Amino acid sequence: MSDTTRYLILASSFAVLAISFLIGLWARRKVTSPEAFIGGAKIFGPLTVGLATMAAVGSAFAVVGVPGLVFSSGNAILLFMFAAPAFVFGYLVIGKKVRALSEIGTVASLGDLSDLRFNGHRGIKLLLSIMLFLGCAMYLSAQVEACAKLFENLFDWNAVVIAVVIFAILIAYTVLSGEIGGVLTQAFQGLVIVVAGFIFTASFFFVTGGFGPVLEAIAASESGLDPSALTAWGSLPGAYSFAWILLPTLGIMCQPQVLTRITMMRTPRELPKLSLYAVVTNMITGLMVLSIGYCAIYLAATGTVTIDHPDKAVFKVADYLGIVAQMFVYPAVLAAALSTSSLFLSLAGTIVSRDMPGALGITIEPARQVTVSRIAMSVMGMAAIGFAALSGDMVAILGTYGFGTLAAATFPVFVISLLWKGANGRGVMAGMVTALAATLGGVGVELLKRYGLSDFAWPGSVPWYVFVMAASVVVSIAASLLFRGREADRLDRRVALALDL
Amino acid sequence: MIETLLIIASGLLWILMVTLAGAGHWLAGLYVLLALLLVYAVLGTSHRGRFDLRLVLFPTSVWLLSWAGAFALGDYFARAWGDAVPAFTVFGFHPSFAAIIVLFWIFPTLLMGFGFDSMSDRWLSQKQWDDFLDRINEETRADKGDGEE
Repeated sequence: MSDTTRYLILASSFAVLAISFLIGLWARRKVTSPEAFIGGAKIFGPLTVGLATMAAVGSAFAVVGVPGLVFSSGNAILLFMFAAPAFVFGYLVIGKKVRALSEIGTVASLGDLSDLRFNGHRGIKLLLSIMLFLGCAMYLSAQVEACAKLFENLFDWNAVVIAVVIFAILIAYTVLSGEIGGVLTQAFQGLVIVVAGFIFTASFFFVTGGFGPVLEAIAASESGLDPSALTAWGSLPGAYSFAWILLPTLGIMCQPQVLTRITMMRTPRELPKLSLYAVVTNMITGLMVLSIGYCAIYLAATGTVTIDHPDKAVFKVADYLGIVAQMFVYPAVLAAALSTSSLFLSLAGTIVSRDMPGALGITIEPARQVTVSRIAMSVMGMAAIGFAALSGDMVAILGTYGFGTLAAATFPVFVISLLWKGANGRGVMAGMVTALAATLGGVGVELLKRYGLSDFAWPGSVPWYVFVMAASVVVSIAASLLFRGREADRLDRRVALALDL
Repeated sequence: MIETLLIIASGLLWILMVTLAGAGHWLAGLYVLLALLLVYAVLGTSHRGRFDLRLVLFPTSVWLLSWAGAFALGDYFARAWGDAVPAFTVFGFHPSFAAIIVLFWIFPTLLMGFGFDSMSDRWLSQKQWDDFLDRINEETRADKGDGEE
């Protein structure tokens, strides 16, 4: 790659950063209160929120991790990307109830929603905060890894320095405008991903002639690539297909990226339009990811390109396709990483400044919450860089860990309890304790295996987070049935109306 | 009462689904997932204790049937050729994956997106929303009144 090409790509990538920064700066004027900064503004329409949600859910996991796994193990991970109907399902099943709750009291955080549903139950709020914090760390680490891979591929720069520079800019615009700037910058970044999706897919067809030649290349080559990788389930054990369908299908509806955006909509009547925009843009991203993965397989099978690490597949493919593809794909990766990072930084800030103190009975004045939130975002950004440097996992694997942890934490609180008035404080608390203990156990086992200290195998090769989700849901239901009938669990009449909507 | 029975059924389906997958029957686990989604779909349409089964029927049930077809065809064609190159392709894809492309991704995604939009009034009409806001305001005023007394 020539120096001119490198600097053109660098310029296009930093243009995304610069525009995001300017949007954040502009959005400051819309921050009219501390609650609006944290996420309490109900001012957005379906297109903005649809693009923002797609970008934040997609993340670097989709643009870097998924093509990498397609390259290394075939189609199974695409099931995760293609489970887009679950977006719509989530809005259809709990969307209006979540939005209705934000009419009852100030809802600027997920902790506020939990407070409304469980009459200010501090234990649930505390455990929710801890679990969300863990999920944030994992998700942010995946984004850091992706950014590092992007610039490692261009220049021989130190990965930690790259991550510090990008996150410094990200933190700067996130602390300026909070969640309002977050939604607007994420919408812009979503647009970048969609445009890149069109351009990349066209380039893919131009180079390979379509999807058929990929299969032919594998059949004809002596590269040792496995034809079963291109079946529906890929070349990994089938349990991965199971997990990668279950996780998005049940998990998307309770991801913070989805829930927090529902509460920021002007009206719930626009949720069907929002879901339409989210899935259509998600399909374009899915097509891009499919094309990148298949192009990587094709180029490797024909011996055109050597790909030494799955996370580098997207960049190697873009480099092969030429300057036009490069100038859109690299910024798209950055946009995907930034959109998710800004959301999780805001979430971490809100947890530390609002939810965690509230759960511990500490009151922080709204104006001071903003300052505390800004400090927390900065600390969390730095912590994520450290975690990524230590863990060294693939982007896709870190992403699924984060997704699973967040789903286990939020499913009982925001799905079971919104669909069932019988879910009560003690029951959901028991489910949350189970989720936290099981998550720590699951991550612990994975770490022991990484360092060769354990050869434990999960039953049926099913990833650990599936068991965590199941345990938290089943315990929440069973314990709610066991502890039913307490006066303290009686629903506020207005909350009951919201659940009945 | 029906809601409680449905939620108990959902808990049992979770246990069945994960047990099947853990025992190596992951495809059977996927079919159980579809039944679980159906239960949540029914619960999600609950409005003042009544379920809107037409909303469950369309678009959700059509989506779930489409996914069942995708799993069945995807698995059938994956087994048909095992580790070998397939005898034919569909749109250039392995037939097993083509079933996923059409029945798991494109058709149900568009179906759910446009289907939900077409049912938006049934899902939440302007009147329902306005009534909800009025009742919330009444309850809030009543609470304030109680507080003042």
